Amino acid sequence: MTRNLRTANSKFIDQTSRISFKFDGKKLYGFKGDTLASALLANNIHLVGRSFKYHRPRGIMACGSEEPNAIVQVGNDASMTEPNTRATEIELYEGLEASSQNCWPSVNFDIGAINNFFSPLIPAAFYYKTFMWPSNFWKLYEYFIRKSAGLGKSPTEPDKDIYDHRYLHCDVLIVGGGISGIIAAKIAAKNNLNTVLIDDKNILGGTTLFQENECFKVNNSYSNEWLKNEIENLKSLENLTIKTRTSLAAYHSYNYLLARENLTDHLDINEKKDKIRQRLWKIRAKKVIIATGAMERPLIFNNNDRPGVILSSSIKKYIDYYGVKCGQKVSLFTNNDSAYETAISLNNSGVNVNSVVDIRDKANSLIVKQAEKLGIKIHWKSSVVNTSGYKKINSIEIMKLSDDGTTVFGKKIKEECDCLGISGGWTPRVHLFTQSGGKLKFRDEDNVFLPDKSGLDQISIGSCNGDFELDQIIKNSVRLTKKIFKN
Amino acid sequence: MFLINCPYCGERDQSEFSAGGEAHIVRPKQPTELSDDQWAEFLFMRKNIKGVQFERWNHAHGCRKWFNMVRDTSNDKIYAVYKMGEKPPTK
Repeated sequence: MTRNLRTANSKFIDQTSRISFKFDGKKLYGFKGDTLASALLANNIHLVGRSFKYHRPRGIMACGSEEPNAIVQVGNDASMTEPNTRATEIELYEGLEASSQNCWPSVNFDIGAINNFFSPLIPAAFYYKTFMWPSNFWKLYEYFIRKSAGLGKSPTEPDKDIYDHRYLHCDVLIVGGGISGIIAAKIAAKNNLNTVLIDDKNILGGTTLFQENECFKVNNSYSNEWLKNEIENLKSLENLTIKTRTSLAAYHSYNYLLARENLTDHLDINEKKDKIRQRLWKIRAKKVIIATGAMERPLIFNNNDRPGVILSSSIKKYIDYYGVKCGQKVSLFTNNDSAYETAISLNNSGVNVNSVVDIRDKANSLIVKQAEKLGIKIHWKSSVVNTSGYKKINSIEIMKLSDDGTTVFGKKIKEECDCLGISGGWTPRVHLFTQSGGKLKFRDEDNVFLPDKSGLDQISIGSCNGDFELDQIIKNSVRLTKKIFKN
Repeated sequence: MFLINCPYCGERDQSEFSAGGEAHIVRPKQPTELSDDQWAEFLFMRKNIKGVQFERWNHAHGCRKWFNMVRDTSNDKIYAVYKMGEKPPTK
């Protein structure tokens, strides 16, 4: 099973070094460079957890820190076990043991799922209102309620790991090592400023790193090739410090920031011993450049929470970066052009793309034409109205949209699939900006909140500032970065 | 976390300082002649405004000297820092 879900051509996964890990007690294999999520998908495991109240099946939905569903327990040691970690953020290592949460006896057969059938009887605040009386019965209720509350299990013994904290002072701190972060880092370091670039992934490059399409070119080369070259060039800059596997945790006033650097979490279990696990960086920066990018929005339709319903950009990352097919027959549902990038990537890797369901009347961009040329079927002005498949999606229903887009009509088209990619446009990651006290503004054309006013010496660049086109990102990142160094 | 420019030591992290409340409250010359209300007024009543405020700070883990600071409490912007006994900036 594992073999045929892997494509042979991923540049980022070392397919020569195999790693064994355990999920729910079952021994599985992945490769160096995988995350837990990509390794599970490669083993055709979509169902990884259960929802909190109704115990509905939950599958992997995204590929990074935005993951809402694939929340797992890592480790089974009483002092080292960690609840509620995102499978999409755990780098695979030899000896990793992970398990599903909020299910009993197992994720495949969960007694609690009975709640799903009684859901009309258990509205919001059901527990809180029902178990109040008679008051002396609380002793009976308590055991069961405590058992069903919370998702993961906390460790019961003290943490044996070693942790560290350090101070860092710099002229410029750049958050995010995607395309705009790299552009900013180059400009800052060349201006003789002491620059620090941090990124939460293990390598720099963001999503542009696996963007290989003739629609996205910089100086006549593919954007990924160009970016790789830029990253190589960064290494020779003397006053630039690059910190990978470092995520920013807080942004306080006067550009005081906290970051967590992961030092050994990705190492094999017997290499971790006696090493510092994580380091807390207390950073005071003169200027901060936020380049945190954007994340894809989901779309709304009936039963859009089934395992196998994945953000379309994540499907693209799994196929292009990890070389993992999320399914063999993929359907896509979109309201914008980016799902077509996924369709083309899948098609190039030999995955059947059933069709793209697009709510728009028609689109004439280059990428859509490219997809049409490849013979990918497109349902224009249609919508996915329902999905079926309990533990994994197995089909979708498509209907035509009315002219004003408020209702659907006509015959339901049923389409069999084992994965549905959804793309509802992009949301800039403005979280850091708002945490620092910044105020947002709303852009009506594409319904996004953008950074507006801030009292601190900082800027947002790239797609977290609302630039979604490659040429725009490059042009505005250069312009804004140069501007912040002038005053 | 503020970055405070101590008039004696220079820029330091807020963790080295402790706040001493509103500045420029003059102690009554003859406390014995005051009513309880007037004394309580001096001891406890503070303006606690949203906006520009004059306040006292102590560089507790540094030079241990007291000084005054002008800070906007709504956005924590520090406008001026001056020594004890100096006239507060008018603007």
